[in-house]
Amino acid sequence: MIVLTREGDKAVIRPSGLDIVASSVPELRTQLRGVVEDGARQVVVDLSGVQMVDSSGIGLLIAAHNSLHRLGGKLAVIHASSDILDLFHMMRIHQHFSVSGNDGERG
Amino acid sequence: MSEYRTDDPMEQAYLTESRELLANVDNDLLAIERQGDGTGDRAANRVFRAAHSVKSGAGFFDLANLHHLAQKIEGVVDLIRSHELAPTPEIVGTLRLGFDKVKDLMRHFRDSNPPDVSELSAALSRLIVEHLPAGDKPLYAARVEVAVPQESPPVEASALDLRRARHSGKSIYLIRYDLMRDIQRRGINPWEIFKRLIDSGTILATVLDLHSAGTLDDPPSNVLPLAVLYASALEPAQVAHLVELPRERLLVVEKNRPLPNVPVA
Repeated sequence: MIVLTREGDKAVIRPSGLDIVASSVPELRTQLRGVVEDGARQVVVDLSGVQMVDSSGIGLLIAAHNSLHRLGGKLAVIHASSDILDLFHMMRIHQHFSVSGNDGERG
Repeated sequence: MSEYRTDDPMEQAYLTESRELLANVDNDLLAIERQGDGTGDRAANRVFRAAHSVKSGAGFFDLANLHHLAQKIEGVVDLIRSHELAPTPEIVGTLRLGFDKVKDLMRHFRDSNPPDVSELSAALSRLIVEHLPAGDKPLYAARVEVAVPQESPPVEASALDLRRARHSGKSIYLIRYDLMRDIQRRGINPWEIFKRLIDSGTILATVLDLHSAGTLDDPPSNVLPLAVLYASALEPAQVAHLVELPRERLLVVEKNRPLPNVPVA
């Protein structure tokens, strides 16, 4: 289930109980594209309850960052598990958009 | 002031190693100042390696101020070790200030309001420009595009770094990582690989191509290319082995030959 919360130009997307992997990426991509087309410029992806992000998931998050960056907006990823946080660190993508962990640690 | 703490294991490794290298710099600067005792050249090489490692790591971690300052220090020390600049107490004093500022920047690491390095950086730049050999002067601060086969756009690097690499007979390589494939699927730690590169040559430029993932309107992409422009006296097969990549992911941009009697460190 994907939970979407909107407030002004901010949108929070929480893929609750879903991993961000090849099978769930198309639906998430549609949701993300929808909120950006609808005017959201501060998009937060809440990874509470997400156990795994594979390469297609990382590709999706970077694509969302690229779309928002072009429009002067920002992507932030919050509540990443320590494994997912480590992966983002290894790929250096936390240097391009904000990534924080479960206890609020900054990536 | 307390040391910067980070949750990123690669940043932790970089900071720990850099602090170890910097711990010996004060003694080595003293030895450089007293060149007469014969220890100056060895000390200058060690100080150069410290500045080079800090600079290269700062490039990897995208720390612009730290990279900029360490690069200036490296340039001055390079002139001292090649005997183009005499290490007067005044010059060594400026280097000491430079290293103090480097340590300061490392304590502030990712602060949004880092210490100002512009004045010191300008002083180091003046030292370099005044003492560079005549042929190198126009290259200082110039950036050139390196035409890379099968790769677009070209990668930009310092004209002086390139000239020095060519002059010392180092070949120029483009190493093409795909961070998705190589890190997620093969478990490679990019900082470990980067350190090996720093130890065996000069990293001329690093380009992380975030754009290849496209936007939400583009077809999905599973690649995240990281290109490293690298100068080394090693042979292509040795570089491929060093970075644990298949040979086809390494492009030889320029094959140069090591010259006799020129240090290749």
